[in-house]
Amino acid sequence: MLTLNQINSLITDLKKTQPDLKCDLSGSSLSQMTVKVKETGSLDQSASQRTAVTLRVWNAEGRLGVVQLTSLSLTDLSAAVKTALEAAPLGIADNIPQIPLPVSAKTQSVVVTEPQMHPQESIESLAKELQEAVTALKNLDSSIQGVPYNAVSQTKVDHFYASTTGLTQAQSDSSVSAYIYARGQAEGFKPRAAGHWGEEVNLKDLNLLDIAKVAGESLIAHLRPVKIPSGKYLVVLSGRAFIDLLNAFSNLFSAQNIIDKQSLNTRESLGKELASAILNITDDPLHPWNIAPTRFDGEGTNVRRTPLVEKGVLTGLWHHSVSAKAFSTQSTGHARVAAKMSVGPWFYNIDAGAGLGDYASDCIWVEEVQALHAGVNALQGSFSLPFQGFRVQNGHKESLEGVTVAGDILSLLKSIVALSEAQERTPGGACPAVAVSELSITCES
Amino acid sequence: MRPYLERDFGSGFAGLGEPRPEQFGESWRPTLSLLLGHARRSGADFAEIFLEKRNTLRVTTENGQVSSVAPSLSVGAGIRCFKGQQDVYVSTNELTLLGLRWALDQALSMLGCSSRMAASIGRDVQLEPLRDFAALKNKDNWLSSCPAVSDVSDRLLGLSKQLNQKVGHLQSDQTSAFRDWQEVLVAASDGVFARDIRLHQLARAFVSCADGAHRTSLHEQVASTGQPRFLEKVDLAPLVRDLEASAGQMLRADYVNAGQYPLVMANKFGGVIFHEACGHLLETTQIERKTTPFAESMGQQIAHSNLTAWDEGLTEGAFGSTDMDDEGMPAQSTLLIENGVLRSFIADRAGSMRFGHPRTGSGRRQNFSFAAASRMRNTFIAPGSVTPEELIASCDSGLYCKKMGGGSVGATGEFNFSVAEGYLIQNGKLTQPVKGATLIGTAADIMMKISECANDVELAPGFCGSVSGTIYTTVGQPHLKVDNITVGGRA
Repeated sequence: MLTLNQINSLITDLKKTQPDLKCDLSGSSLSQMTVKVKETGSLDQSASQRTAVTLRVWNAEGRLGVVQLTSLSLTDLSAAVKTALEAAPLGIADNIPQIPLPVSAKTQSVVVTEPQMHPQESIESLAKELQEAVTALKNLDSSIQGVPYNAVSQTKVDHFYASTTGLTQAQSDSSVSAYIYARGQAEGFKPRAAGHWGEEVNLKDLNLLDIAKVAGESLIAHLRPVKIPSGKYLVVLSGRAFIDLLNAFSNLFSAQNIIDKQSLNTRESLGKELASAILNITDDPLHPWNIAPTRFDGEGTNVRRTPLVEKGVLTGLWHHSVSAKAFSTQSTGHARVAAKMSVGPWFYNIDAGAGLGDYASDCIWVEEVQALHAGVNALQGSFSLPFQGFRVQNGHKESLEGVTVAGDILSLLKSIVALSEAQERTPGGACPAVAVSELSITCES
Repeated sequence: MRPYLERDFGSGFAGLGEPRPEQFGESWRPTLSLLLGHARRSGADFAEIFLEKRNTLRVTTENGQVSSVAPSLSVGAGIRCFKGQQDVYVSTNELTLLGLRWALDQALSMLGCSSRMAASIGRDVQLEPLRDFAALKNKDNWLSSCPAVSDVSDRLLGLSKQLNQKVGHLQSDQTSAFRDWQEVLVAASDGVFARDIRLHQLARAFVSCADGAHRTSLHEQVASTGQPRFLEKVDLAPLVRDLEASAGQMLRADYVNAGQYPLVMANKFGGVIFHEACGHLLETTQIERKTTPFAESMGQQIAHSNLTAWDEGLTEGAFGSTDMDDEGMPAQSTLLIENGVLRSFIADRAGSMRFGHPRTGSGRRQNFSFAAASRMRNTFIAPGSVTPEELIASCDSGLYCKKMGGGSVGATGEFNFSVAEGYLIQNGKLTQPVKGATLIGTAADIMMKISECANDVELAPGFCGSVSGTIYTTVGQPHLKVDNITVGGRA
């Protein structure tokens, strides 16, 4: 783990040669082991140890130069300071972030988080459990032809922030994550694929056999798909599909994007209806389902729970220090620091609802939306996405093949008619299934 | 920070001087020979070391002001070892002898090889004379020959000004440029010892236009490989002209109706359909995963007889060109499909070792943290004989895809592509613009439906994300006709 002493000594050493230096550095140092099981049964093992640092340096005129580097050695940091000072006069002239100061106890307590470390497993243990899971999955059903995509990774990460003003933060976390994606084919049908994932703080809590079982059952459910006429349908989005859509249109909640006119919202949108009145969205970085959460952002500001949508009304945005100043508010601890600062979500929490009722029995159920990088126009608000899902009639589910779902995100949010009673845990947040009154579905003929 | 500093590395490394990260070349020979020899003595069948230095710069303007100047400096190394059917990869930022020893010991340990026993005895690997592509092609001054940041900023601000003058209903604009300078050194236990310098540069313009409820956003980009003064000399006027024309058409475009359409796809970035739907499936990585339907199709008809396709790394200045791949093999030109018949796969070292397909100089990776994998370079469909106008005229009704967005292909060969700028074809002529179209299908089907190619091949730069990270590629094709394809849109 990176200790506070190590981080502070770097800053101290830098200041020895440049007493007037005004800078901060944030970043992470990561160690990771990953195992995959190839189709031949042999293992694909990898390990990495890498550091990523963002160094910000303010020159005598208050202009800011930012350099990203991969080393925390004093020599490399000193060279990066020189590069940053060269870049500073050429960068932004207005709305320059100020170097963060240690916050007074009255406004915010800066807490150095105790390490959240858990026992590290050997790569042999990771491999053994993954091999067992892959084997169990292959034996689950004769229609399962292979498990082309699978991996288990154990990660230990040290996050840090330090500035010449004395604000210092550090934390260490470890986690284990896995995904298992199987491929299969039923006679007379095209091949299909489906998978599942999981993440926990250690391998003991991550049940790879369960992940494999869910992946296999999901695949089997999709092996004999049907075609449906293209048209408008009542659609239920799984929690994961809804979170993926929200992430694709994250400019909705970005104060920086609003300032840049790169958002579907404007300043005037705050306090106005954005969605159906049954929708409540919060960014909740320390949600218990968020494994290994980051506890401070790139400016060293502690993360915090941020309501975004309450009863359908847009009530909050993600802020860093500069956007907060422009909106006369405080940073919400969502800063991603680079030459241009940005903001982004940590972990969504969408409140569960009163249940889907009859909607769950007759709908198009979108389990997973795909190709978000290609099928979303974030500034138009439109999307047209392939998806994996089902037609549900009288409670009976039939898989669909070659289907896309299309619509407009602003219309979608206002067309939400029901939310399931339970939330689904996804990599990006906790979210119920979301019923939308009407979306366009295209099916390959 | 360096938990391995205290470890005992054995006497075999005693007296070896610290390699100098600032100089890739002969000075690294003793260190790399020794490390590779150590790997072989420990029981690895094959070992490879990849060293990398990177110096990148990105400049961005937003609405007429410089909003970001972002330099980035990085170094790192990756070590890959093979034993039987197993292979392992370990990467580190520590470009020191201790860092490399740690990485190698990790790799050997994961392979089940006994590193400590082998440390003090045995011979080094005899590396070949250095194949220095950087020296051969006078690349050592490339970085210092690139334009100054202030010159790049001025060009981007000029571009932004042009966009504001020419593009109607402009709500916001963003222009950006990046320069990615990379130096690599590859050494392997079969004697490979090669060095190269790469330089990729790109200029990009993005506009967002709005008129009431009507919105559109579009971008254009130009890019090059190995031309240090590119950002100073490249003509940016075509970007402005294209965005002006496209935004004018697309701002009020209606959503396309979902359904089955004959399709004419424009040249340049239209080639993304072949890249995604077929190119990826010809990578030996896909054979290993059993995710390609073409694994046993060598010599067989896998596409329409009018289709011939290449993947190569030689075209001067093209974004996917490279003098050597990331496994030290010189670039080549590879005929993939000839008149519909599969002639070659895209093979890296591992693909060649495991499946017997000859290496094609296609072992590529984003950076040192990825093992090289079989990846595309400049991939394009060869020209046919008709004109683009004749292709469009041959459709009574259909969809013309002038500009494509991104796309992807899944584990079952199902693909999808978004259409950034589309027009309906009615009675053999282009009519109204349409938006929101997604092309969907399966690779094996679509390759048989590309029935005719025009005579106007052009290439376009792009980025490809896959197993070994995001790399620079070129896609290309002439205008071509697809007999029938499913278009996702509004029902």
